[in-house]
Amino acid sequence: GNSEKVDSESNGQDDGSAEFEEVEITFSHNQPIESPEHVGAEKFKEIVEEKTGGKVKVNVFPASQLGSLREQVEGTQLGEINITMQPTAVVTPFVDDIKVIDLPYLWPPSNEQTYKVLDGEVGQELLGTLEKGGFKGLGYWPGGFKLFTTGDKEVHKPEDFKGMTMRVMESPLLIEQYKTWGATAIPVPYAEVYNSLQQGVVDGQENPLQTIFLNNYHEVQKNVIDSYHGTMTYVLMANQDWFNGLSEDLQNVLLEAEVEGHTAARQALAEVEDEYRQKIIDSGINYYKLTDEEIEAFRSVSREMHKEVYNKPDQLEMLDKLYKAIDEAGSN
Amino acid sequence: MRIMKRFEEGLIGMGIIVATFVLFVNIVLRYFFQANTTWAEEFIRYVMIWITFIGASVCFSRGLHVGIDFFLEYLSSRWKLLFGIFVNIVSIIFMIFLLFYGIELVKFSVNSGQITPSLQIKMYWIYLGIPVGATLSIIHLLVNTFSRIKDFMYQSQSMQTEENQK
Amino acid sequence: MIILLMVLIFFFLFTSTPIFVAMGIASFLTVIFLTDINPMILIQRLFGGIDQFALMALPFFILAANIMEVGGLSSRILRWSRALVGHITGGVAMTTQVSSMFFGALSGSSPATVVAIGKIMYPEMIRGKYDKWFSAGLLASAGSVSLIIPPSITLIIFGSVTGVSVGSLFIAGIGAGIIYGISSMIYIYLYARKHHLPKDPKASKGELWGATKKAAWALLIPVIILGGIYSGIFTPTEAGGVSAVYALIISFFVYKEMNLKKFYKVCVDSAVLTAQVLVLVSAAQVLGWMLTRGQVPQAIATWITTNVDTAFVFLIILNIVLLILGMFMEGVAAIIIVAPLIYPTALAMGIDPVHLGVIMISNLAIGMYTPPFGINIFVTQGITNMKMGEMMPGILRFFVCNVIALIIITYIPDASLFLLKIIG
Ligand code: NA
Ligand code: NA
Repeated sequence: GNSEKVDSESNGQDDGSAEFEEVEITFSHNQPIESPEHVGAEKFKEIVEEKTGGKVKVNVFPASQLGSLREQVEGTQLGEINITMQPTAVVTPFVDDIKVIDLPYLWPPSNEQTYKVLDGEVGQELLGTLEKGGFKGLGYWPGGFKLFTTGDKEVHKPEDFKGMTMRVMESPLLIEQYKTWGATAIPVPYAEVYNSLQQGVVDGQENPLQTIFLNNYHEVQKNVIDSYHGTMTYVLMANQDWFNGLSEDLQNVLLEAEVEGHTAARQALAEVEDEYRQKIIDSGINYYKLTDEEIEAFRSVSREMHKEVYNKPDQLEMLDKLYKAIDEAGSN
Repeated sequence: MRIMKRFEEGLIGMGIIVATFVLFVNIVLRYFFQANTTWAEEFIRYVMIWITFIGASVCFSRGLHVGIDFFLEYLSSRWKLLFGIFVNIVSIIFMIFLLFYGIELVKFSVNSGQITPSLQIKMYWIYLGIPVGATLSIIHLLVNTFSRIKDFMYQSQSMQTEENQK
Repeated sequence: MIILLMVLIFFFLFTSTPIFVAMGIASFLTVIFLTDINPMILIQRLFGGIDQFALMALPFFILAANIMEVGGLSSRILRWSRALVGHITGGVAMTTQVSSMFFGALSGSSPATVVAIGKIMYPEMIRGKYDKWFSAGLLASAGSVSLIIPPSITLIIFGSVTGVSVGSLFIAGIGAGIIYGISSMIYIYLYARKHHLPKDPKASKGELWGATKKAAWALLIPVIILGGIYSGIFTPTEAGGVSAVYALIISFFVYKEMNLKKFYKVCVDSAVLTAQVLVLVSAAQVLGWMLTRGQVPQAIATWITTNVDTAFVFLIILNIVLLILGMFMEGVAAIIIVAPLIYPTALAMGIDPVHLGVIMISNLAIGMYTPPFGINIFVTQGITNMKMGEMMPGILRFFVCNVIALIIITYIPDASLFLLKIIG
C-alpha cells in the first residue's frame, strides 16, 4: 500500500534541502508508451524522483492499465489513483464546468495561442473548477487539434454532416456538437473505434493526428479533414484531499514537475505531429484542410451553441473571460 | 420465497427481452430512418449489468455458481454438508462486502453527482444493482444455510440414535 | 500482498467455494487487512469488468443459441451437418471443431461460441459414443479459436494498445486460427480412428437435399451474421440480437415449435447463464486489477527485458509466461497489462509486431480453457454438468495439440503472416 502521510515538521526548511518522507504516487493515463503523453509522464516521474532524492516514487500506469477512462477519473475521485491525466471530455460528467474546453471553434488554430490562455490566469481559474469534483487540477497537457475522419462523404460545411453518424468520446457536449451540425453522435469506447469504423457502425470520428495515425483509423476511412474545430486537451489532476495532505514542499515539487512534464509532452507532440501527418498523406488517403471560408461557416454555426450548452451564470462569465483572453493572446 | 424467486426471474427475463427489443429497434431506425439513438448502447450495457447482479442471486438459489468440487468427492456426506455450510458462510460474507461497499459506492456517487454520458442519468442508478443483487443473494444463502444446518442436525441425531440402538 | 491473495484464493477454491466468490473475497480480505486502499475501488472494478462494450454480444448470442435449440433450429442444422460430414472419421467431433471455427468468424466472444456450439453438439457427441471427457475438452478448446479468428476483440485491443495495424492483425489471425484448429482436428481424427467410433452411412443425394431444405431457414442465420458483420450492416452485438429475433420468428411461425411459455423460460434461462458467466468475468477483473496494482505483470516484464538477449529465448519465455498468465487472467485484461510492456522489447529483438500480436493472442486463447481460471471451462460445465476433474483428461489432450500449434505459430512466422504478404 502507499503511505501517504507526510511528516510536516521536517519540511519547513527553505534552503532547498527539504526532507521528504517516503511516498508512492500512483499516476495513470491512457496512452501507449511511445506517445508524447507518456514522454511527459516519464519526465514528471524523473523530476519528482530527482528533486526528492528518490524518497518519493512515481508509479506510472500507462495505456489505461488501471481501468477505462471513466473509471480512472472515478478512481481518482475515490482516492485510489493519486494523479491521472484525462481528456476534458471524459471529466465532463464529473465536473460540468470543464466542458468549455471542448466547445467547437472556441480555440484559434494555433497551439501557442491556446497554451498561452490555458497556462494563463483564466485557464488556471478554470482548472480550479475541478475542485467541485474533488480534484486538484495541476495543469493542461496536450493532445493536439482534432481532425474529422469520414468514410465515403467529404465534409466542407456543417450541412454535409446531415444524416451522418459520428463516434465521439463519452461526453454529452460532443454529442450536442454534432447535433448542432445535423449529425448523430454515438459514444463508442476508444478500443472499439477501429472496428466500428471498419464495420460502418459509425461513418466517421474525430481525433488528433497521433491518435488517428497510431490506431490506423486512416486505413478504414477515406477522408481526413484538418478542421481546427477543437482540441484534445488533457487535464492532469490529483485527488484533492490527497494533494492537500502533502507537505508544501512536496506540493511545490509536484507543481514544478508538472510544468516540466507538460512542456516535454508538448515538445514531443509537436515533433511527431508533422511526421504523422506526412505518413497519413503518403498512405494515399484524401487529406485536406478546410479553407478559411469553410472554417468561418462552421465557426458561426458553432458559436451559437456555446452559450446554449454552457449556460449557467458563472459558466457564461467564464466563457466571456475565455473569449477575451483568447483575443488578447492572438493580438500580440 | 417463491414470490421473490418469481420476481427475480421476471426481472432478468424481461431485462433480456427489453434489451433485445431496444437493440433491434435501434437497427431498424438506423437503416430505414437514418435516425440513430445515442443511448441504446449505453442502455443495453446497463441492463446487462443489472441482469448480472440479480442473476447472480438466481444462480445462488439454483445452485449454479461453478466451483472446483473436485476434492469434495472423497468426503463423507456429513463432511460434505459441513463444507456446504462453510461455503455458504464464505459466500454470505462476500455478499456482505458487496452490500456494504456497494452502498458506500452508491452514496459516494450520489454525492459526486456523476452522470452517464448518453442517457445522462445519475450513475448511482447503475451501481445500485450491486447492493440489490447482494441483498437478494444473502436472503437465498441464509435460507439455504438454515436448511443445510437442519439437515446436518438431523443427520447427527440419526447417527446418534443408531449408535444408541447398538 | 500478492502472496496472501494467492494463498487465500487457493484455500477457498480447495473448499469448493464458487470461483467468483473465491476470487472476490480473497481480494477483499487482502485489501481490507493488508493495505490502506479503499475497498470501494473493488466494487468499481467488479462493475468495470462487465461494463464493457466488448461483452455486450454475449447475452444476445446466448439468447439466440437458446432460441435455436428450443425452437427446433439447432436440431435441423445438426441433421444437415450430420448428413454432410457424419460419414467422415470423427464426423460429429469434426463438425464441432469446424463449426466452432466458423462461429469464431461470427463472434469475438469465446464463451458465446462454446455456448452456441456446445448446446447443439455436446448431446450429439454423447449420443455418438464419444467419451464425456473428450467431448467436454473439445468443446472448451474449440471455442477458444474464436479469439484468434477475426473478428477478435482481443486482437483489436492489442492493436489499440500497441499501435499495430488491426487490419493486418486480423489477416494474420486467419492463418493462425486455421493452424490452431487443424492441430485439434488431427487429434480428433486419431482419437476417432483408435476408438472405432461408429460412422454414419453416407447420405444419399436425396437425403442430403431433404435435410438441406428442412434446415434452410436455420442455415440462413450464419449467412445473416457473417454477411451482416462483414458487409458492415451489423456489429457483432447487433448480429447477435438480429439472429435472436430471426430465430424467434422462424421458430414461432415457420417451425411452430415455440410458444410464449417456452419463450419466457428461454429468456430467463439465457439471463441466468449470462449472469453465471459475467460474474466470473467481473471477479476476474478484480483479480487482474489486484495483480496490476501489485506490479506483478510489470515485474515479470522487467525481468525479461533485463535477462534475455536473443529472440529465440525471448519467445520461449514469452510463451511460458503468457501461458501461465492466461491460466489466471482473462485475455483482454492480460493484453492490456502485458502488451505495452512487452512491445518495445519485442521490437528491439526484431520480432514482427503483427507476429507478436498473433503469438500473444494464441497464448491467451489457450488460457481461455486452462484451469484454474478459464471461462470456457465454466461455460462448458454449465452445458455438460461435469465436474472440472472429469473434464481434465480432455482439456489436457487438446492443450497439448494447441501448444504444438502455438510452437508452429511462434517459430514459423510465415505460417500466420503469409496471407498478409500475399495481400501486401
Ligand atoms: Na472471432
Ligand atoms: Na485459464
